[in-house]
Amino acid sequence: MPDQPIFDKKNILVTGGAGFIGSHLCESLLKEGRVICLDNFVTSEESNIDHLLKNPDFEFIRHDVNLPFDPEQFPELARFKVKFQGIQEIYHLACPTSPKKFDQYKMQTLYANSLGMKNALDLAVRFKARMVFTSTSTVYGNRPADGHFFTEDEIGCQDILSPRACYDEGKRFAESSCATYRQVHGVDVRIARIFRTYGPRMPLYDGQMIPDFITSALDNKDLEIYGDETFRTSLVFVRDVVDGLIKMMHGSEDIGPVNLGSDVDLPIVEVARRIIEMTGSSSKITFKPPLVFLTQLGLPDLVKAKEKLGWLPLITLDAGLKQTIDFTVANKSLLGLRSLG
Amino acid sequence: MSTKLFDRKNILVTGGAGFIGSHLCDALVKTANVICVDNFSTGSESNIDHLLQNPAFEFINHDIVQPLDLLAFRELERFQLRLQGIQEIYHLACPISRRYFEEFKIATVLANSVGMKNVLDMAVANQASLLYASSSVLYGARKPEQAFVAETDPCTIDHLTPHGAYDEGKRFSEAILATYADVYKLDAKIARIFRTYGPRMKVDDGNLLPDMVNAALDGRDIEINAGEDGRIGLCYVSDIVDGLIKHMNSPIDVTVINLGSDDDVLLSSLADKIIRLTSAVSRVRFEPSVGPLFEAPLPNIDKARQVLHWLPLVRLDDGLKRMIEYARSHRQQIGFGSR
Repeated sequence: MPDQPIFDKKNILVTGGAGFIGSHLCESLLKEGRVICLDNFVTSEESNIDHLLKNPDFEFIRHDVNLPFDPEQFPELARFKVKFQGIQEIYHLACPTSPKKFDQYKMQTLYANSLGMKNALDLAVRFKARMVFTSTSTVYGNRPADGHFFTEDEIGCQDILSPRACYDEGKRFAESSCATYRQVHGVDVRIARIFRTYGPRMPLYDGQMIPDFITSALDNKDLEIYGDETFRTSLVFVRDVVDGLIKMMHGSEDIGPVNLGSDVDLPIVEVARRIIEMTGSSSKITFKPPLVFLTQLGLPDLVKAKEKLGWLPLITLDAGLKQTIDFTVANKSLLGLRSLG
Repeated sequence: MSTKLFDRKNILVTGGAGFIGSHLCDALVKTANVICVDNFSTGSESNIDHLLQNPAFEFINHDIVQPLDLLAFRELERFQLRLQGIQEIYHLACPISRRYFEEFKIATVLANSVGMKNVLDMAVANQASLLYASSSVLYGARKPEQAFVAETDPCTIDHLTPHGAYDEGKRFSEAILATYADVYKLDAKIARIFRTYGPRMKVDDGNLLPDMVNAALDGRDIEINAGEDGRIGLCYVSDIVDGLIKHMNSPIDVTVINLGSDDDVLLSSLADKIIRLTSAVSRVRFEPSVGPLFEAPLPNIDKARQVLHWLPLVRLDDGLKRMIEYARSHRQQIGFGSR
């Protein structure tokens, strides 16, 4: 397969494409290619991609990435001429993420980071496709006591045997698998380490805070923070992350892992207050016990993303919150229904 | 299983034809039925030849990365697996080769993910106790201010190096085990094994001790690539095997344990010992190291002492003597068998 496609449009595979970040990514990628979206709806939603299903350049396949995937076996992909054209790019996002139901998905999280990763890498080998793997800021471990920003070459320190290990250590292993496939098979795979992200389509009532804050504020109910007044985090808007992922795919080869996130440290209480203001709500803020999967993450050093990719988060918190609030208002009845399911 | 329903336990040993695995089989087969699984990727048939006639021992040639259904093997019928199941699993299978590491990289990634999963699935199905042979590589290199590492010390290693397949693989295997233990309430244990030596150690594979012994037996100079004050901790294989068995039989709340020698030995004095024990004419030569020097940490073995009442007992001189005897009597075969 030549590096420069001789086809009118690239074939792009997105695993986890019906998830929060994945669905925004699919939307953007449709501007530059045909998108094969894989998902099994473990922690994602069909409604995230409903609006894409009619697009002739988009095809959704319900598939668990832990099982091998052979695109040639799907007649609905015939129009993408996979047999002839192959697949040019793979974005591998599939992995369960749910702060509230973390325990329920432990085994699947393990499998996604080993079997799923292997299957995705095998596809990249088979089609000589370029690949972006979405890793996570948690490979660095907890927020450092001295408050330093994580650079990509930081080795990271985390408890291998913690209750979160299936995710944290799993992602590290998935990164190692990428590195090994690069060393052995020459797979052109890039690693994006994504920090805490927010925006429309973030799952509700799942412990992700921002979407719950907004719904609660709109209903004039209490905004619940999992933790106390000291809980701080950075927040990057989902479209910025999507932009970063695409820049990584297009970027020059082998620049190693790249942080994608915001380096602005925010007390979560302030974010909650801002949401109350912006929605003109009469809600108050209450504090709940912390969740295992919802930790105060460290902050990214963004020098590499800036210098190598020309990427920086551009959307301000207010602008991002406004879009998220608008989305929530527009979809509220629908979102409410969904949360009961 | 705490209550003894059967005369002999059924024990599965993966990687049972490897260096440590074969010694473990030797010990276990005295009181239990042993099913030894290996695919000889870096293990060797000669390691278990002497066990093949033992009715309590059965060998299955199988790659643990593929699911394994023991009930499908007719040769295992005499162990009555359908009735008795498997009581214990020692999971040692993972390619390990200094010299041919590159060749086994993908196999290493798979052993530490799919292989680990397959073995844990068997433990769940049989409600067997499981012991996973992990490695001291998790602790990274020796820190100047701290020679000893305890089980609770943080494990910081770079997972994207050319060695990530092994180093990070072992970490992830531990994480898989912890997750399974948590979700399925398994009795699952981790032994972090430090540098081990003894008979059946691979020769011609870039391993320090066999290379030194061979050089001495050939009357060649013994090369040390680590400077004059290079040091090493060395535990004799029968001590490690003893520790593994004690660990397997420890209470369910005992999980991670270091097994190794906490005795720091100068490489130069090690070489001198080997020269003396072989009555060789060799000399010790110090060579500049190729690439950065890696000095492994020593294990803090307080936990093994207190919880398992385990200590390395074999003196270095005795261990070396046995290794040299073995090397002498097997030199031709080994030379023939090595790749």
